[in-house]
Amino acid sequence: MEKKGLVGLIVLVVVLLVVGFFWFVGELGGETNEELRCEVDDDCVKVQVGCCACNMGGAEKCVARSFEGDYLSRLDNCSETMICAAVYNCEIVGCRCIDGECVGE
Amino acid sequence: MRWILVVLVVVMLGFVSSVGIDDDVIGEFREGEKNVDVIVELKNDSLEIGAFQLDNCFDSLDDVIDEEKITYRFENSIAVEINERDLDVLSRSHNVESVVKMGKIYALLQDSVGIINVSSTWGLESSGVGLTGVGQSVCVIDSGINYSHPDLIGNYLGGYDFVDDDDDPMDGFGHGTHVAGIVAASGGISGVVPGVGIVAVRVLDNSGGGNPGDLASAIDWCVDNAPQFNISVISMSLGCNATADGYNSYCDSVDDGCFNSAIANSINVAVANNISVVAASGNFGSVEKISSPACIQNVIAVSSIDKNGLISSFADRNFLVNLLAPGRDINSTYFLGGYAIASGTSMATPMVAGVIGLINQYLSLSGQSKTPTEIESILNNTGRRINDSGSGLSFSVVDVYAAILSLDVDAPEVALVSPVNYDVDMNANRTFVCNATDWQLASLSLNIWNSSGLYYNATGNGTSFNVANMSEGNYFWNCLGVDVVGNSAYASANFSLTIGGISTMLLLPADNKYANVNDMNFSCRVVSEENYFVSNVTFYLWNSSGGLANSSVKNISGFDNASIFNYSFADEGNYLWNCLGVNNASNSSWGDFNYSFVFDVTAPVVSSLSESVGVSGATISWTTDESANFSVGGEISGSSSSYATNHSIVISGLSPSTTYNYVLVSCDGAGNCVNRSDSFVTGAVVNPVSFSGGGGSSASVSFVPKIYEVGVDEIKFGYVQKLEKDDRVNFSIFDFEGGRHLLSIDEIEVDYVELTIESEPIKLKLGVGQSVKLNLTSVIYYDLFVRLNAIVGDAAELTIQLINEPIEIRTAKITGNVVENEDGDIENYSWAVAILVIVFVLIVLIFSVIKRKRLKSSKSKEKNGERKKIKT
Repeated sequence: MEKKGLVGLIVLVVVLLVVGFFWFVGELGGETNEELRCEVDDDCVKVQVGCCACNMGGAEKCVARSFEGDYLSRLDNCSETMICAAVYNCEIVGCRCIDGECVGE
Repeated sequence: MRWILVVLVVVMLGFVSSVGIDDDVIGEFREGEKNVDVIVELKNDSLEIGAFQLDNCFDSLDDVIDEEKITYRFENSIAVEINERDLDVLSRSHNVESVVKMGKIYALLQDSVGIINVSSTWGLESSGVGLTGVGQSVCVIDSGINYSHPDLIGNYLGGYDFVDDDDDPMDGFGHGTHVAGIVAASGGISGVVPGVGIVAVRVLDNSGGGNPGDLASAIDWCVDNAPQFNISVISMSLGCNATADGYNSYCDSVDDGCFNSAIANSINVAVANNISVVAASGNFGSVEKISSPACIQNVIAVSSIDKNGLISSFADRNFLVNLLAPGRDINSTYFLGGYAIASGTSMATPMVAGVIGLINQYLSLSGQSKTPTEIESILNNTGRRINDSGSGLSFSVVDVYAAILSLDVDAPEVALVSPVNYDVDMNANRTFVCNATDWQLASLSLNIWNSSGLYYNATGNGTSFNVANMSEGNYFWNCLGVDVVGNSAYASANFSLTIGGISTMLLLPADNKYANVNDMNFSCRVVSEENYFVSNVTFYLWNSSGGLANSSVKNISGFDNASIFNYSFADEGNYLWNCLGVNNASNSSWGDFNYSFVFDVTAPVVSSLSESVGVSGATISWTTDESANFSVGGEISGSSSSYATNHSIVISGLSPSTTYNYVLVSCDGAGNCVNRSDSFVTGAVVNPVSFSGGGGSSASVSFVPKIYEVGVDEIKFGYVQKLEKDDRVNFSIFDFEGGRHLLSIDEIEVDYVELTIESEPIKLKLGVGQSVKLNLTSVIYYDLFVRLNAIVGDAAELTIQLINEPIEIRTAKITGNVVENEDGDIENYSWAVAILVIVFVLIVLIFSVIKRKRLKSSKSKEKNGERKKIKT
């Protein structure tokens, strides 16, 4: 019984570790395939990554339209009074769905 | 064997690889190249963060390609040197899209420095120093820099990190390193000014964002550290993100969260310290608005052009933009090593910053000084104008070479080549050659003089002048170089030329020489034309009446001989001397003219020494019986190296009523000197506004406090005077010397004055309109009335009047406790004391009443208790 309890405890710890790991990875902003998943070009949309616009040192990327809101809500945390580098990074003209993934072109 | 390996790789690639391999790459290896420079394009094109955070994208490649071989990275491409084995690995990689041979497409910074004409200036020198920015430094406010980058390591001077609040501004984003490379890269590529120093201040974090407050602090830091690093420019390739809409007018006072006021204030301080501040206009492609801090008035706002000279599509510009520079596809230092290409007004800004650093270097070398506004104006006026159809405005593209040339104050350096100095020749047709060095030489002229004056003059574009049929005689010649802006110069010394068989030149002593030693050497030089040796030379000395004082002959030899003749003078006086040279062909020649020599052992005699003395200065005048210079020492000083017989010296800045001793030394041209000691006393400051109408002389010496001497008659009727801090009024209450007192102003504030009255020090504080009566000499009556009428600027107008009023309230001498207000009512502080006493008594009474009530109540309680006890 004790052994089972110990195993259960270990399993619990491992599960917690695994969940924690994935949560951690997710928090780090690791891109999930879900974000990029698409069927047609219209499923994809260009979003701003980070607080600075691509005109001013920031970057942009193409994601599934369903994730557009997530990226927009992230911008809510950005200060409106930031200074950004004046380097022009707006290179993505449009988004396409290629092999089931949103890509910039 | 090696060739077979290449074939195998190619065959293998053909079957298994989806990677596009450029035929030229394979061709290079087939031709025996061991290493080939290629561009590897990756399939992963979903880069998250632009040009400056590419690490993850290259992780897989880093496993197979040596990091050191990567020479630059940009977006999803890298430039790398590969061998055949690397090509094999790349061809099998799932991440690689293509491998193409690298052409010469990466010298983009070099293209850009060509557009702004900066490379033309690198060959220029001033005072022997090349114009590469050496000695100047640019403060780059950005994401820090990788100061260990090989192209920057020699330029980095120091910096600060406002993100982490430490002194290590290491770049974690990449933008600052790129910007710094544009300014100063020196190695694989060359920045605008490869010799300039870089000071890095980090305000952008590793994601490229930053706090506007840090920006103001960073500017202040650059200003504070400017003396240490000789910072003459601040470069800011950044903008406030709140201003996506930008500004269409100066934003110095627009407080919208971008901290404009504070940043403008910091920038104004920088400019006041002669530091130019350059900022990027922004990249939203607006033709109406630009970003902050470029919109601040004292900033040099920079926008971007492409390499073809057109304004970049992304470039913000309006009338606030001052200058344009290349900003698209600029190759510069990458923070992880190698180089990267980036675009933006960020890239145009450091170009202008570097140019200003270079201009400041030249200004410094040439002893000039220009304000940031003047430098901006020079760049505007000398730049290439382009019209912008988008905004309807025209802008100047920086042309640093033209700007430097417009500042040129260096005269041409002229060297005389031939005929050599002291040339003697019978040939009457001569070719004169001289060289001139200058950034922009306009012309070179030959001038030949003989004893009558200018003999020949010609101007040409070349360096050679032919002069025919020169008559026999002695000549001097020189060349005059003139540059485009009018700077001109001769060679440092004329060359001598003799057309004829022999030439004689007088060497030492120079013409018009004075001496007070009787044993003198005279030297002259005799040069013969090359076919005959010199034979002899004779020295002649004549006295002032024309009599021959001495002649001496020496036999000489060779073609060129310098001889020395010694003579001991017995009599003072003016003399003339010359030499006559003779050669073996019996040609003879005198020196061009007789030189004058004065033997003088008598010191000048000083007479009519007098001083004209004022309160704060004096003029000393005297005459000497012969021309002499002078110096004055002791408690005053001054001098003149000019020789004259009438002398005067003006001494200023003296204190009133002070004795000054001095020693006057006056020397003649021969070095005979006379000393005279004397002294004078400066005048006392007297009342400049005499109440009695006596016009006292004005003592308007601003650097010493004024002392006003006031007599009894003046103070009797009320003496009114405007007094500044430390001014004093010396006045009399009685008509004898012992009755004098001194009123001095200690402090003047907006609405009151603090003053002291002596002989016994009495310190007073008077408000405007307030007055005080004092008893300086009696215990039973007041004898002085002082009133502060007004405070005007730095001066307090006081009325001081003698009075005689009995003292009604006996107090100690004066404590200022009796004060008459403006309406003339008496305010007695005793009332205040009385009120305080009354209040105190009332409080005591109230307290007593309360205490009594409590006592009563406790007694009644005790009584009730006793009753209860009795009941029980």
